[in-house]
Amino acid sequence: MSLWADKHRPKTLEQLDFHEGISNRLKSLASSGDFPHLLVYGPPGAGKKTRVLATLREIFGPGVEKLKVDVKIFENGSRKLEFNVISSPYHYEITPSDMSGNDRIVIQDLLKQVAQTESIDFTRKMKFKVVIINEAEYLTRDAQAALRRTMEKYSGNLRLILLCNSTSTIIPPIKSRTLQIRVPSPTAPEMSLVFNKILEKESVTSFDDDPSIFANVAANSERNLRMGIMLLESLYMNNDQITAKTPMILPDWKGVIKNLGAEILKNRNVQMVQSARSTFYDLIAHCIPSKLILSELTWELWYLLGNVKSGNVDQIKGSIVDACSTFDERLSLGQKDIFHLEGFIIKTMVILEKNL
Amino acid sequence: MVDLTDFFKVQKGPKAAKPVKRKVEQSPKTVSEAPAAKKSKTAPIAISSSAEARPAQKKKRVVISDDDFDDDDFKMDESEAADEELDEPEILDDDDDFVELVKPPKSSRRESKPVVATPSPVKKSPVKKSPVKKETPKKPESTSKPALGGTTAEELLKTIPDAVLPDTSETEGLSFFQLKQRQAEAPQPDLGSREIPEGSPNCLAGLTIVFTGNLPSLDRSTSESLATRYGAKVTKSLSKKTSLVVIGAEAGPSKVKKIKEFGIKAIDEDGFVSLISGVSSNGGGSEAAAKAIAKKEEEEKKAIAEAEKEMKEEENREKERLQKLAQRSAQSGSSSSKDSLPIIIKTSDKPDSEKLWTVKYAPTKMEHICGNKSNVAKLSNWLTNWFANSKAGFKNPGKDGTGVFRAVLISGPPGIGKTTAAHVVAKSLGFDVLEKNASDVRSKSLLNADLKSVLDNTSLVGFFQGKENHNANQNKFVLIMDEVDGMSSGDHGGVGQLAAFCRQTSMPLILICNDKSLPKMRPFDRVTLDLTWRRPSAQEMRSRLMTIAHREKFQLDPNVIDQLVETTHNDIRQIINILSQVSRTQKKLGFEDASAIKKAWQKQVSLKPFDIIGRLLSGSTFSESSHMSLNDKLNLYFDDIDFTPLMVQENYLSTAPSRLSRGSPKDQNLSKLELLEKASNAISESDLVNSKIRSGEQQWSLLPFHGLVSSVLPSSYVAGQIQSRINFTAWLGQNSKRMKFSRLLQELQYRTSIRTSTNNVELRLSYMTYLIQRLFQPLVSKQQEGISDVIEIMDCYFLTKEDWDNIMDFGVGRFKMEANLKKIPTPVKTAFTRKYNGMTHPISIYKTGNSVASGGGKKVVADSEDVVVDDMNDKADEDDDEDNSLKKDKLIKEVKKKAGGKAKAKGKAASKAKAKA
Repeated sequence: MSLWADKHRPKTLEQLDFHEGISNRLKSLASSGDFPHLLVYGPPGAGKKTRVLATLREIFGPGVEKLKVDVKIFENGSRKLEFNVISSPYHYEITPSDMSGNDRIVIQDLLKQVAQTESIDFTRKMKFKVVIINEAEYLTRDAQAALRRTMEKYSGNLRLILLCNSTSTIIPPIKSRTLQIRVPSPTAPEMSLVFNKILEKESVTSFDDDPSIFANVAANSERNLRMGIMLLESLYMNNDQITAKTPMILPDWKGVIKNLGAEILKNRNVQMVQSARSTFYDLIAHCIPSKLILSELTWELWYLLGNVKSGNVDQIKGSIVDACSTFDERLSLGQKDIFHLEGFIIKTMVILEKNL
Repeated sequence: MVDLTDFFKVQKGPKAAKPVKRKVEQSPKTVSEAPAAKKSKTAPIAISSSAEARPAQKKKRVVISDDDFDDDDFKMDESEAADEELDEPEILDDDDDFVELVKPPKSSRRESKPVVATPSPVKKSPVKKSPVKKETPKKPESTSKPALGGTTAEELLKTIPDAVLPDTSETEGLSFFQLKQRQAEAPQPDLGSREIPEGSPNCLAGLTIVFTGNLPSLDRSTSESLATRYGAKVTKSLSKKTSLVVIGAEAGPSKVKKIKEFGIKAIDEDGFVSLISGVSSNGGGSEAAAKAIAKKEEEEKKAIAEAEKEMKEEENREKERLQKLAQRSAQSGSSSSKDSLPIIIKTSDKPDSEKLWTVKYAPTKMEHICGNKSNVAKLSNWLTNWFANSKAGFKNPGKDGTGVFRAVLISGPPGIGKTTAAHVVAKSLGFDVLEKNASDVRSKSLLNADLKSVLDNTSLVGFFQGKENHNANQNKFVLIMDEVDGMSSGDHGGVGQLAAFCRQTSMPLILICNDKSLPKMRPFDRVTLDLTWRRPSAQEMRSRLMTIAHREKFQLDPNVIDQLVETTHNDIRQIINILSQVSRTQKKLGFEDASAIKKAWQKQVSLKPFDIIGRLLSGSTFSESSHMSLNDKLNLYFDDIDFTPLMVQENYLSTAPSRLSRGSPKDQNLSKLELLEKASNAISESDLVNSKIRSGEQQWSLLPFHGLVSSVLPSSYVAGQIQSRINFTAWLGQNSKRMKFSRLLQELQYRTSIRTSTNNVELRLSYMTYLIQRLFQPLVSKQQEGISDVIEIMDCYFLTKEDWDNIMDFGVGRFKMEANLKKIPTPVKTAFTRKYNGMTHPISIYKTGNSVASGGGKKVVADSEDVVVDDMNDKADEDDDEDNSLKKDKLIKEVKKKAGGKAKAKGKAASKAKAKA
């Protein structure tokens, strides 16, 4: 018994519900017998990985679904690095952010290892193996440079699929060697379609026949389908009957950030900064990315300021977004996230205090 | 054995020649003696030749100097400076001559003995003593003369108006802290506004002054040092002996009361300044001043007497030494047929002039040790009774409780004579000393090898020294382990072993360290007698330093000693070193030089993070009257470059900034937020600089800039009253917490990745909340029945019980599970654990490093479990099939290796197999 999001994950390209154009193109690619390196990008929960795995299944058959996790040991000088590789007989999956700066060595070693062993299964349609690189945007420059030549040299044996949310940190040489596929978030109606299918399969009847429920779920999950299905499931689990008014069960961190935004708008003083600091520490410690905290907080303030009638709201909004962008940059450049979040929150307080 | 190097030093001579050389340089008088020495024929030609070679003008001066010894001292300097260049080549010549002379060794040895034995120093000292003696009684005479016509402090005080005593009723009810607050709020001294007054020397002698309150233009330390500089005694509390109170704003009410009670003269700052500039030197010759001066003279006289005594002793020693030397050389000269056997020269045999001052004037008697008298007494008592206690099995504590310890641990800051005291006490009690210090490797094995055997032995030193030196006591010895806290990582197990020795040693053991509070000194607690050496006070050091100064013919103003003591944090060794260095260039150390020395020799004491923050965030550091330069503030950062920025960040919110603009609460709040915004902005920017420094770029030259942006700039905005306790930085703890959680998350991601096909961040952001719900809710709502649901989910995601606990830790806000977990009844919890442990569970990860078989075996277990748990049989079958195919795949690879090897040529096969292996 797994969560719905995993249970109802489509396995083949035919099962995919939206972005038909992309699915068709992938299908024709898979059947053509040739298959270029891919760079698949798009927001989380849009179905990138699902599509890629479905494509692989199209190419290699159901064998790709037989996944296992191997602990591979790489040697970096005298140090031994251990990290896990998910693999099937036909493909490997690696995540460079696991390797914390050693990704170049891993990429060099692993890719060569994979590329230099040829499959002798002559019955196979495709003679190459596939390496999926998750979170390709976190590849260091060194690792990306190491990829460049490998991609060409071993193209006989090896295909790369890079998955990422944004291509802004991927170096142009790699972009030019790959076929770039953007997978956008599903629209709200598309999500509703998926939700309906799932509820049908699960034969759930406790949902009111109100399209606004699905629209609400889609909005609250920011059109992240995975998150949407999670929300849907938790609604089902926690309520006997779901109407349009049933409150959403938001992820824990979102609730915390929402509260913080409301409090900042209410109290602007040193005590508030102190308590914000401990909230930030708590969020950061529990692996909530700082950039996400910053942007969520900004959105929350933006939303809350919409209800404020007094003061120069537009100017405040502008200044807060300005501050947000400044500190977002600093979060990328710096190392101690709390410094920047605190800087942002005090700056916001000053902006609010001056203009409200 | 024979020390050859020493032998050659003596023989060839630049070293041996040195004393002669210096004497020639130092005092022109010796020149006049030199011809006499020449006549006696014992003196080497080298000396006489150099004396003759001296320019004629010098001889002239010698004649003049005979008239007046006092002047001689000063002229010596000049002549020395002037003639230095002239002397230099001659001396070189001397050396050459000398070396040539040395070549026939027999004669040289004979000659070398008189070289050292030149009687000049012996003769010199009595001659030299007289002028100094004369000088001291002269001093009061010369200075008191003008005083007859000068103003005394008493006279002047009468003319100075009384300061207005503040009304105490207002402040009476306030607590100490409230008063402190008021004082801090009161206007800070405006230091630029007044020139520091100049007075005649010793003009405040005999006065006991108390400062209270904030003076308008002098801060406390300046005014106090001013008073001591002019010979006054500064005390903190009022008594009947207090002759004068200098009162400022916000004076303590109790002090004001006492002033009234005792009827002490109270003046304000203006009065104080006019007092300094008005009174003539030596207190204007008033009674009190005269008394004070007399007291000081007494002290000086004592010091001088001491010095003379020591000098005599030294002379005797010198004579003895020379005699011994002569004896030995004579012996060796007669005994050795040719020229072989060199003389053994120990360092203690070296003439004093070659020694460092700190060695030369190291105390040789217990009375000479400055300060810590009671500790020294305790130590000597312990050592005296050691063997008696040993016989009693260390059961009898004795009078001072020292009898139960086999070892002593002396601790205290550097430079206050711990080692010296240990040596002196041991020597004076007739013990031989075996010393081990940080220069020896002291690991466990070496200690065992070197010391263990020694601890049961007796000394043989006396045995070789001949009968006359041998006394009964001397077969005892004491082991001194110096610098115990310096036992480094190289000394594996040394501390533990040493502590073990402390429990069983059959020889007294003295351990010395600087800081006994270190954790690694813990083993010595309770097994050693703990003696903590304190820094000797200026009082305790004064006479000793005066003695040294006198013996070196160096004029030292007693008031300067206080300054030096303060500068060096009571490090007597450093003071002596400073004096030694200063004496090379000047013959006098007055108050003016002391301040320069104070600056130059200021002992750098690194502040602890808490003190740094206290300084950085206090308003006075950044007030206009602060005399800290930007550099000084930056140095606070450099005291601890790692912690200062973090501590600033932790504490910058908790001040009441002095820059705060006054106004309505709302304005104040805004103003404070604005200051905080500037500060936090600077802190945030500093992190960018920091990552330039610490990351790949390693731009360490940016460090001062980082210091400014991270510490000085933010503090400058928020500096003021620190309102709460200074907290230790939370960043470190939070950061390690973050690391821990990201490690856990990584682990979870690995386990679940087969099912979730997502990355760490997404796992945390979208899955975690709902996983927590699904893994927790059933246990509360369905209790025992819920357990199987939970385990089902866990198995589906390959989670272990440990992961279950970890997942529960991940929630924030409403999903913080610490409190919620208590909702699960204990029986359910235990049942859950038991049930989980009672089942077999699928595993997703296995190491490829292991053999295929074991990996496959595990997988088989996992699958059979799947069959049991999974209700969809067909899927399980499919799994099985695929697993088989996978295994086949692996086997195929294996087979391929072997098959390929067999089919192809053997050599190739071998290489291939190797390559694959």
